[in-house]
Amino acid sequence: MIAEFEIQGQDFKRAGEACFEIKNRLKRLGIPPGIIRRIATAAYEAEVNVIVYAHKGTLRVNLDDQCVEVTVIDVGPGIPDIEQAMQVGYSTAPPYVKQLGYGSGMGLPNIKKNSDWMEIQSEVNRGTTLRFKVNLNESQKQDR
Amino acid sequence: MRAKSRIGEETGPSGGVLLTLKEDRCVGCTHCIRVCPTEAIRVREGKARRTPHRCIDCGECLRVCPWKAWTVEADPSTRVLEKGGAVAVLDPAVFGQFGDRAFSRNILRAFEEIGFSDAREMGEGLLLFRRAAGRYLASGRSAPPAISSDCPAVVQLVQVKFPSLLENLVPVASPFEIMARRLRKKFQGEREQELCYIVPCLAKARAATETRIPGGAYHRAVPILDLYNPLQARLHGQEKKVSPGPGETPPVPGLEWAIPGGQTRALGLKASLLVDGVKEVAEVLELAENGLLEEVPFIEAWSCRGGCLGGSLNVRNPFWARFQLSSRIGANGGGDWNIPGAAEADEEGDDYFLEHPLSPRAGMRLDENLQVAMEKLRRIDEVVKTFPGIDCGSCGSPNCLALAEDVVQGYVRETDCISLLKEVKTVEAPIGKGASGERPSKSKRKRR
Repeated sequence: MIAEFEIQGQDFKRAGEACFEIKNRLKRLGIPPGIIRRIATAAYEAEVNVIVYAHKGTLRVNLDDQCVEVTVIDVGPGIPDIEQAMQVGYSTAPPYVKQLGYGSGMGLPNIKKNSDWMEIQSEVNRGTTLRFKVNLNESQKQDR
Repeated sequence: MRAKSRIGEETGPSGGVLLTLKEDRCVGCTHCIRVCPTEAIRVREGKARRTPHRCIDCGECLRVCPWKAWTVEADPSTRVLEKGGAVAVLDPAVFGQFGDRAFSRNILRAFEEIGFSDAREMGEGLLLFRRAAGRYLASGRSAPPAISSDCPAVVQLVQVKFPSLLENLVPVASPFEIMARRLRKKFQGEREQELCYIVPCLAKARAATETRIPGGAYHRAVPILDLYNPLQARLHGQEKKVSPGPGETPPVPGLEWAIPGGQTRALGLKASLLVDGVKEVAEVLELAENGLLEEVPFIEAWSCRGGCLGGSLNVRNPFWARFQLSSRIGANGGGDWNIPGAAEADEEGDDYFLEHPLSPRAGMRLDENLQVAMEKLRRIDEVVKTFPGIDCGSCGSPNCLALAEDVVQGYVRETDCISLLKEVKTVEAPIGKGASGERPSKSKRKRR
């Protein structure tokens, strides 16, 4: 594991802090820029999802020879219909969140777009676990 | 491109202008290590030491040093002028350094009077850049947001800290590089001319000789600072000889380029994200890296507050200079863009796109080997926990995390931390060891 962060629900002011730290660490490790960018974009969306929807959450980053894996476990309302949530533009964010510029229904699709593998497990009224991977070797993207 | 270097190592002079430390003036006060945007400076054995491969030539250390220990050394301009045949190319910011009675054409003439065989403004380079960059932005080839690549310190910042944004930089050579190539073409066959770029900052001085397009290099960069006194004297004399008319005819084109917002206007863009100051630029680039600025068409980024008029090698106050420049530009905006040379260039079909993509610099990397880097990262996490987290800078590293990194890299010892050392001493003193200079044992360090 190379990083772990606690994220508080509704803490909009700190949105992006975990992502900033992840990027810094990946840069320290010499991970290729294009991969860092995909991870940064996906991790930011995941971080914001916890802030917008959950009570709290933990974001972990693991790295092995093959890929960077991000795991986000939150305690929150859960997602009743994951397929629906994956659709571009679908959002259950309240209006005040949308006014802050979040909750446009792009989060999960963006994570999918920027990762090579993604999985969501969710239990209503308990919480959601999101995992995604970005391959270190960019050529592997086509294999999946 | 600079080779990887260690703290205190110097790479060769660049553009004939070199950032150096006057050892006798440096008191090891740590002002510079705190403002360096890439954490390239440490204080070691009481003196500031720079790691060149991390340095982006932003000049923040020069500005902040209360002891004027950081200085810029340039080849004496007198030597350049004595040799003869030197052509001065003036950065637009240079025109802001002189008072209102000095008309732009008079300023150019003053350069000739002090010994340059020829003095040119950069209008032609700016115009050709404007066309090439405009074509690129309109082509839709750019990854949003497009980032201005005109400020070489911003380009270096991207190379060192934000390599994933390299593809967002507009891949067109800077106006001064285009200008150099044009002049080389013009002087071809004539006797050898020494191209000198009169610069407002360190970053442009380096970029002047490390060009990214064939023929785009200058022989040397000359800080405006170095020529200021003789130029002022000439201009003073000129004013007595020639009284300036009611307006500049023809006006010098492209002066507004040196004022923040000038690039956006020159490129004819309706909207852009305008940011100046190296810390602020870094903040904006963080956002861009998180994919949050995709609706922004263009980022006009300046490493210096106030744009090139805020450059660290200028003479005058940047806001005074902005007033001078804007009063010279006048109401009609950018001056006379009807430049015959530019039409010639168009016929030649030169497009001034960079030949090679800009490459990242391994500035922030802990180790070449991923496994070793991961182990180092883990150890840094451990070591930083033993530090007080007050970022006092007394150890000579900019903050506790940077010290932890320096310890793990083997550059320094943990006891360089004043807080840690104090505790070790109080523990050791009663049992009679005093200041033995011995390294504290692991168990003692863990006591805190």
